[in-house]
Amino acid sequence: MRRPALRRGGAGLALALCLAGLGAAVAASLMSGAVPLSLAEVVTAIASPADASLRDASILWSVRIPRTVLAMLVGASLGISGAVMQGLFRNSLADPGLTGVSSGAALGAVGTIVLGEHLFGRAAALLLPVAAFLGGLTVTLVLYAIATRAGRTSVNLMLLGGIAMGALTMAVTGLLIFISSEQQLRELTFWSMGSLAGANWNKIASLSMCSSASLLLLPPLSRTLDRMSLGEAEAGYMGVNVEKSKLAAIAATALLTGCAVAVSGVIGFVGLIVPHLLRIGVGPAHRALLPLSALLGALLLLLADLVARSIAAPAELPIGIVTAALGGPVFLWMLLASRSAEGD
Amino acid sequence: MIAARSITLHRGARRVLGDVSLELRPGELTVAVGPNGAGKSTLLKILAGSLAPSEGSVFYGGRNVATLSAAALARQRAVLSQSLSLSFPFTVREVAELALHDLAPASRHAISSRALEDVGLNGFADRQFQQLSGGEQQRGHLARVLSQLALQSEPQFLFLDEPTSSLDVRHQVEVLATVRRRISPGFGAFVVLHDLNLAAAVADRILILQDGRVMAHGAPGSVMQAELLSSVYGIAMITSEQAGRTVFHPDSSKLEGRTA
Repeated sequence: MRRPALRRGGAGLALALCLAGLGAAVAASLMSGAVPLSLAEVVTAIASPADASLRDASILWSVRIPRTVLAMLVGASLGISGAVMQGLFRNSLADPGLTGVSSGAALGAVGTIVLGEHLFGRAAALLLPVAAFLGGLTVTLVLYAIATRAGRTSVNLMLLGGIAMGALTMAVTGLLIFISSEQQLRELTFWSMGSLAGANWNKIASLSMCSSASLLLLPPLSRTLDRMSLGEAEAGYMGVNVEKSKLAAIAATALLTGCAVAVSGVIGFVGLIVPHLLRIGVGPAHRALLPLSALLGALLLLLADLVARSIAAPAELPIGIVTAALGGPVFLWMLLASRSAEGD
Repeated sequence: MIAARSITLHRGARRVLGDVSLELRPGELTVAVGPNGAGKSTLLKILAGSLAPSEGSVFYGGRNVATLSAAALARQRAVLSQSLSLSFPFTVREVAELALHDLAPASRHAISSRALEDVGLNGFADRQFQQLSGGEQQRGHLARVLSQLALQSEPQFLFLDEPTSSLDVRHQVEVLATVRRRISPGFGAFVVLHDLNLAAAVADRILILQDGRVMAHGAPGSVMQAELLSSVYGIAMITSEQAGRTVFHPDSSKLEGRTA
């Protein structure tokens, strides 16, 4: 397959398309809802709140803007963490879900909901995001310890271990759900299928802190991940400090995924599909792939949230259902396409 | 100079390499030969600094390789491994430039173009690497390794593990000629080969390994003896003189059972 022309202009074109798409999606997200607003009303309420009606300003600033910003942050975090994971595992089927980070984070959250009040009383609600993050991080670190021997990590062991850890955390989560009360159960469903309905400025602040911390790790990672695509030994021959780079990649992913799960629950398929689609358009070089994964992830999640909010209005679908319904078929299609491209 | 001192490697109870001492000098092309499982690739990895021996040490210009960082080593030697797989659809040029991330695009382009030309892959730069044939991929990786050498300061060393295994006869000769041309007072190479006649033709020094031990080490004329090779490979070796060169053939009478 020859596609240098597409590849050469690809990154610029993809950047333009993502930005244009994001602009349109942000406008749609701010305008639509139980109280429809026109573009002019939205612009007025943001640019000069004094001239807008109190109702419009309050809807925008306390509901729609936080929700839109959170959707973009969560989507960007999931997109990047998927791209980093796939580069680390040298496999476009790897994603935070597969390595157990998401289910570990979900276990932390569910554990806090079911047992937290017994243990911590009212502080439990505050602890929930921390527990989700710690759950994701714990799974990743345990997995790393299992898969690493004498300073070298086996990608196969880590992937298979991720499946095992995922099964284990799901079992414990299932047990917690089994013993939960009726009211807790509602909260759990909401959590395990993801939602952006609880968006507020506190969540945005905590997710922004996590994201910016991990963003520092990414530029040096982009060049090492390219070299890792030939395997750890070759990357080492080309001068990469392999163990340090792997640790940085794992830390960035655990941080991004754990914090995203903490504010929005488990939202699947974004981290899997976004980098995969981008590689088709702009090639696999991570220098372009990582930032574009953030943009496309933000766009995809914003669109998914629009669907989740509007398809059964005034009721709201958990967003994880929407991403799975969109992502599952797209993913199957990509698998079939890659199979026929390989000619078998 | 790269010096290996009393290298021994155990894997479980098995001794893979036993008491190997060896010096690689710039200006020399050393070829390692020996039967499957003799420890050639293992020795290459230890000399290249990616595998730590159980006993003994490797020194690069007097410094123990264990104390050198991956980045420092990458400036002194480049390595072409035996079997490689690329996990994402990079182009041939992107692969050839993988070791050159720190350079400006224009110099990257110049270096990779020259390396691709050296291995006969000019015109392939924009093709997808994974869609090349096995032999073309092997040459593409050699181009990547040659590009990495452009970053280095002398003395520099090239390690090649069976670089001709997927190549047709013409490209076997051309790839080894490319390496041979680079040998200079500031440049040395260590190559693992299976073809004894190519080894004898290209090498300054030949290392014959058997069961992790050095059976002979020296100029091709002195170590490539039919008697020694027969004993090392466990098959009778026949020599003949062709154009003033000694040529080695395994006794292939077992194959001549055809009833034609």
